[in-house]
Amino acid sequence: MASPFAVWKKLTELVKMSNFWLIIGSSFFRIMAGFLLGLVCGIILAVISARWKAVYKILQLPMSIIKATPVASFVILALVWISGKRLSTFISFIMVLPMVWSAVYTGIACVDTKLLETAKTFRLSKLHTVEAVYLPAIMPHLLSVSRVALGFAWKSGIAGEVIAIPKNTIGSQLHNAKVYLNTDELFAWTAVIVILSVIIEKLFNILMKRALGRWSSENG
Amino acid sequence: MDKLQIKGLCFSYGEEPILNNLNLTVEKGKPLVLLGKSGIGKTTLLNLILGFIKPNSGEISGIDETTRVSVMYQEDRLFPQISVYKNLKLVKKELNLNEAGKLLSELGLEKNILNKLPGELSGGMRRRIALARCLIFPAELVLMDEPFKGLDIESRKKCLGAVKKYIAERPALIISHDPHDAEAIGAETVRMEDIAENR
Repeated sequence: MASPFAVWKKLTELVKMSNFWLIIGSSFFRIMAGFLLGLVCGIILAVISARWKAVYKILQLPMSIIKATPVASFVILALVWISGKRLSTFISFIMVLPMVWSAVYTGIACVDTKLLETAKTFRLSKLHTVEAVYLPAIMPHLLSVSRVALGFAWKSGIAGEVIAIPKNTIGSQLHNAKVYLNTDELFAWTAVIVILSVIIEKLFNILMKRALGRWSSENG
Repeated sequence: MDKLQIKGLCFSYGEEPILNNLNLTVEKGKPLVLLGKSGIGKTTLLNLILGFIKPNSGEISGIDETTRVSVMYQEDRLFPQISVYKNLKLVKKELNLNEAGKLLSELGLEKNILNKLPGELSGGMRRRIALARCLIFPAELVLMDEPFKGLDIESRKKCLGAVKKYIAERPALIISHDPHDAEAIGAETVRMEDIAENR
């Protein structure tokens, strides 16, 4: 077992490595791409599901299955069709999709029907109805699930990399450290993952507060 | 639109009859204040006129999907996540800050609340914003459900004056519990019991 000092030493060595930031960037962008894709597709599918109940009924089962399936199973299955490089994007996408879909659908279902009547009475355009009626119902759900989904995407994306071992990624570094029994490196990379996860979450919160502060659940 | 006419309107919630053979005419220049005890079906009548619920029988003429109706609901129903100004501007695109400020002062409100969210205002202020929204909507028909509910005497006086001006140009039906409101806005009163048969 590596001592905290050995882990710290290894961590400083890792940071000085010429390809350290390349590894970080490579994992980060791929996983974030999957997260954003899941977010966008989840929102679109939820809107379609709310509009056509048949779509909701069709999607309900697959979304539940995705939610219940372990990440490792997805990784192994996906490896048959998807290259290792794209796998973390796909895995984070597939993890985020059902969470966002379910949250946004719930938000739409919670829309205040009295406000909808009011919007109709005062002849609000569709765009204004979305802004005045739908967004207040959806945004608290979407923001709270996005925070959870972001952490989930990050962890599952890295897990995918550990199994798929694409070159120059955090997951492959973790895998190598495990194979060669470099426990100090294993812990050092784990620390990197945790630190990055915290930073991403904080940045996300700041970004959301600035851009969409009025929708946050703390504001009611 | 000059006239809203209701003939032989019947409505029940399941087995329970709410309105029975209701007849009413609302004409331009002859605003009506509808009085009646709680639970008698006044708000149900508004929902029937607006088409939110369907009658069991009877006819409502003079209003269709194209009719622009300015409605003040029993609840304020302001859009919660947008400013007071945006709430008003949504129903009248051409409204500018000066006009909005003038309208608010007419109802006894300060201009500086325009940038606030409805949730940041008191109940009486919200009620008056909901009223302001009705008053700027270019409507052909006015339906108001207890528009002065929860207002203090001074605010009520100002709001009554503003409503009187607005309803002079279009048919208006206003639900109230206070017969004095009718006098103040120059409207006739009609009792629910007199326009519908006993349940």
